[in-house]
Amino acid sequence: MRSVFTHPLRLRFPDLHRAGIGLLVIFFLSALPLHAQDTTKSIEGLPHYTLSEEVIQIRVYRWYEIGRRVTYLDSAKLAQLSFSNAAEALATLTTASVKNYGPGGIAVLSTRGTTAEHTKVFWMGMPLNSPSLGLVDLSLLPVEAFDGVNLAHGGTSSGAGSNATGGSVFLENWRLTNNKFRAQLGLFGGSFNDRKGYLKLQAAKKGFSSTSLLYAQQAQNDFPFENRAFSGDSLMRRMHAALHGLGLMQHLSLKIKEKQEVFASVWLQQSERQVPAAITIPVNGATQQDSSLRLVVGGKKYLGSDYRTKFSATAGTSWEKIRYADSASGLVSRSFTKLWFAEVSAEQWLPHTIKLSGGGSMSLLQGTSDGYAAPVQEGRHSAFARLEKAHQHYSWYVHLRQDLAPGRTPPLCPGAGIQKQWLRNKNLVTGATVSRLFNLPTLNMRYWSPGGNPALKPERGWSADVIAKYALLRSKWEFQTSLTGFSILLNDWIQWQPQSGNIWSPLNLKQVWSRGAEASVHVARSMKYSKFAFDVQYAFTRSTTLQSNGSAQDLIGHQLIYVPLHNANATLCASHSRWTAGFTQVFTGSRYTEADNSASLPAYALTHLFVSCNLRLHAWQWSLSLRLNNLFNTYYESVNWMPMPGRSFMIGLRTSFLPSPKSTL
Amino acid sequence: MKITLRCLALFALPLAFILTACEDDQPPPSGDMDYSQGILVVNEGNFGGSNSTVTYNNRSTFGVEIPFLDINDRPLGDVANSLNRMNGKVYVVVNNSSKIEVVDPVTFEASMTISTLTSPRYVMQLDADRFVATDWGTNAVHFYHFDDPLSYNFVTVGAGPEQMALADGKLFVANSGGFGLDNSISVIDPVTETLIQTITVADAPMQLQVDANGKLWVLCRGDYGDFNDLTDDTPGELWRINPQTYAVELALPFNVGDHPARMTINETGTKIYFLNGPLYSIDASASAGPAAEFSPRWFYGIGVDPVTGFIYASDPVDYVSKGWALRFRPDGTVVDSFRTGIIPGDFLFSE
Repeated sequence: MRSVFTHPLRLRFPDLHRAGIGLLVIFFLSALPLHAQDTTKSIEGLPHYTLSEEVIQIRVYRWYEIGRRVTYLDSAKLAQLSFSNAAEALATLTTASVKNYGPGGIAVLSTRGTTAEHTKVFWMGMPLNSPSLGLVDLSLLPVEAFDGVNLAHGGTSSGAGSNATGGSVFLENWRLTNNKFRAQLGLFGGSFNDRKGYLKLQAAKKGFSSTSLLYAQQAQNDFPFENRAFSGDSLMRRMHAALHGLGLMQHLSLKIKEKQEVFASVWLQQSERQVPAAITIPVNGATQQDSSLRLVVGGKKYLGSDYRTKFSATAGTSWEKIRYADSASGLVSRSFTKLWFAEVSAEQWLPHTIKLSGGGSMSLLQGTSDGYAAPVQEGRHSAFARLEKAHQHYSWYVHLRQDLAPGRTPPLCPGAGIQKQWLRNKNLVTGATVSRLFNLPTLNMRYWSPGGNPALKPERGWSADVIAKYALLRSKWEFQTSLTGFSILLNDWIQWQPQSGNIWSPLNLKQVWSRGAEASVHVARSMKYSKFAFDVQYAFTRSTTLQSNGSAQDLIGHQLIYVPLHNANATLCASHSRWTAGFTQVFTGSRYTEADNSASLPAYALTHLFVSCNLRLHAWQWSLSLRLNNLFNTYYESVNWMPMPGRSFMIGLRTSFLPSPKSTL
Repeated sequence: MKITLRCLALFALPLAFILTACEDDQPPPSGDMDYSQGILVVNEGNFGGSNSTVTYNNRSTFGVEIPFLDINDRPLGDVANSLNRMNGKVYVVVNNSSKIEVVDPVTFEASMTISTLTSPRYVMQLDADRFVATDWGTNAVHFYHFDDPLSYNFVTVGAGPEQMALADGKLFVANSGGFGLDNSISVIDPVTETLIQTITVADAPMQLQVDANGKLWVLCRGDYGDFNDLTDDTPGELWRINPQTYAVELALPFNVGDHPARMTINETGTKIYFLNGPLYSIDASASAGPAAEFSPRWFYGIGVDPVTGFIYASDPVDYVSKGWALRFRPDGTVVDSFRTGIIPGDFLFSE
């Protein structure tokens, strides 16, 4: 099992300089599709190096990492939140803001003072944002489905296109390599009749790799909470928040020749839930069924003996069906969206370690809904080019992207980033990045009836980051810290507001400026049988309206609702022999719930404890884990009048069958 | 190592400050207020936002938000739709919280919560003993006794019953269609609490008023159809009906694409005010249209103060921030304005 202290992307080399072209190859290969990463510490195509006593850590950069802040949640960190969902993991382990409607309800991620529609989520290179809503319900994504979750803070439209205006989340799945087999079974149970389980089978032989994952969950979510909404009992139990779901994920990849590989991944998911309402709404019969099918196929081919040319192609489709029914009102709302996606790209290494790449993508969005007068579809296409330079001391990239969308072409979208490792002190890295931003209106914004506004313009703006990172690495100590400043300016900000007759309609209304700073510290100490690590992250976010085309001129200068000024978390983790234990402290600052900042939700601090024991018996590895959430039973709300659970626990047993004792999994 | 510790301290100190600097929200001082000598504005708040409020204005320049949460230790609720004064109490109808809060008009202390409706819209006093409430959720009119509001009789009406009016000894109920479409008015015998008849009007009747001549005015919103296609809309209409014969005496259709939604009447029952985007007025005795534009500004709710004769109209601004109430003289000139809560919808005036 990977240590909680080992980052999957850290490589150890005897000598940075002697690594020479090999290092560059590492860097270059970092542009491999995310899914192609190995769970071991080796990356395909790399020359072998002999480990020595002198250890230098080298970071392998993806384009979105240069000059910006990225928070990595690897499988070890995600294991702290065994079988929670991606929303809980991101809320606990990053400084992003999660708007959580409580267990059973939806949970969406907002980054850097923007909204959920401004955060793009990728899986296997394909965007998961709903074509109709523009957001991703992270409450339906169990962390066990992924080997890593990376959050790139800040706007990246020049590289990632629409929706990536506040940040991007990359859900990673790595494939097994070499001749290995692994089987893993996890069973979890906890408070409020929460039952979860998964079975994962992985096999690799002669270039063929397969990973199968089956997971299921059911939860009553009938937690007690302090009744503050109605007269009567002071303690009530949450009603109508049950959830059950099932998912299946299958990854296949085949290395046909040394330089050629194809892959296919499919992800099926179905869930049914009672949609909890605010506790001020006693009559609630809302239910929702979510079904999704996601399929991605692709391949890549290298040309030349030195991997200098690469062609990649990816195609995929994402189908989402939602059925919302409210027995109280008799309302039934069905929506079925399909995203068809294809992308081709080519990369060519030029002299002086400069890489030129370019490509194009085509997307077709189709949607039917009770809210649409007729089935709708629209094509969105893009062409992009990237020039980048990789060097051990500095790296940079320049992006140029042009998207096409019928009737509302977004602007030409340039972006650039630079990162420099200072020679005097190689542990200090500074960088900066800038990107033009755009955000295309969703299908609902354009076609919802009544209220849809086909004349909406794309939101557009700029994002800029500056970052300084410092790392001090010794054989037994690690110290890393980073400080980031950011600014996001978005024009033509879309907001729904009622028009004549109280019909809500989206309009390009505002100019919003979000700016702030983020800081992080990581300290780790390794001893013979013990390790400890301490991580602290903090974010300050000021997001205000600069201009408004509407009549709400007096909102100018006010903080946007549900954007906390302060977010922080700290995790202390210690392990000794087969035991691992730790606690996480999460602080969420006060959030305004009214646009004029006249009302707010109070800040809250939560303490979570976790402990696990790992045991290895021949080919079997057992792990027993216990997690205590909200240790001090703090009453808190992420969304106004939507209570969150008090103290709760989750106990889990995970067993892995690893025939090869040398496996590093 | 020194660098490490120093850097740690640099980060840890501000963080420790932040983690301990959390302030508890302090409730605003409520004081000993008398909320019975002026104007009450019910502010819907946002659907699902549970931020309904009531604004009080003592007929001067400033409005104050009545701190319902502090007074009653619970929020007013989600989407307060209307309010009325009956039998010495103020009844606040909170649509999405499925309740009617019965509060003291002076202190706003709640004496009772009526929770026997699913989606209440309006309340109205029938006589000294009884009152009625419309309920979208059950498509019914509920009949209550003031001395026992926990039990009730109900009469099933059309879809989405909205406002009610008493005329010619009968109770008229506008069936707006709710989430669908209706074009009827239910006529109920208030004595026997039974349905007498259903009459057909234009699409989506929302508001009812009775003028000085005892005639029933019906404001129909019309149907949107496909919101983006004006050609399939049915226009809103303003009707005057003889409540005795149900004969239509006046029918004023609006332009295609216009969907009026609110109507009120002055104290003497001689002038009708309604919102069709801008604010319009029409004499109760008018034999033809069009109505005169009273104010070109777009408003959401209207009311007429029986004491001063001033016309009040509410501006929801952007529907997510606090709105405004404007005060007009009967000649159409603006007196002043005051701040309200989010989406000010309905007015109630002390006498």
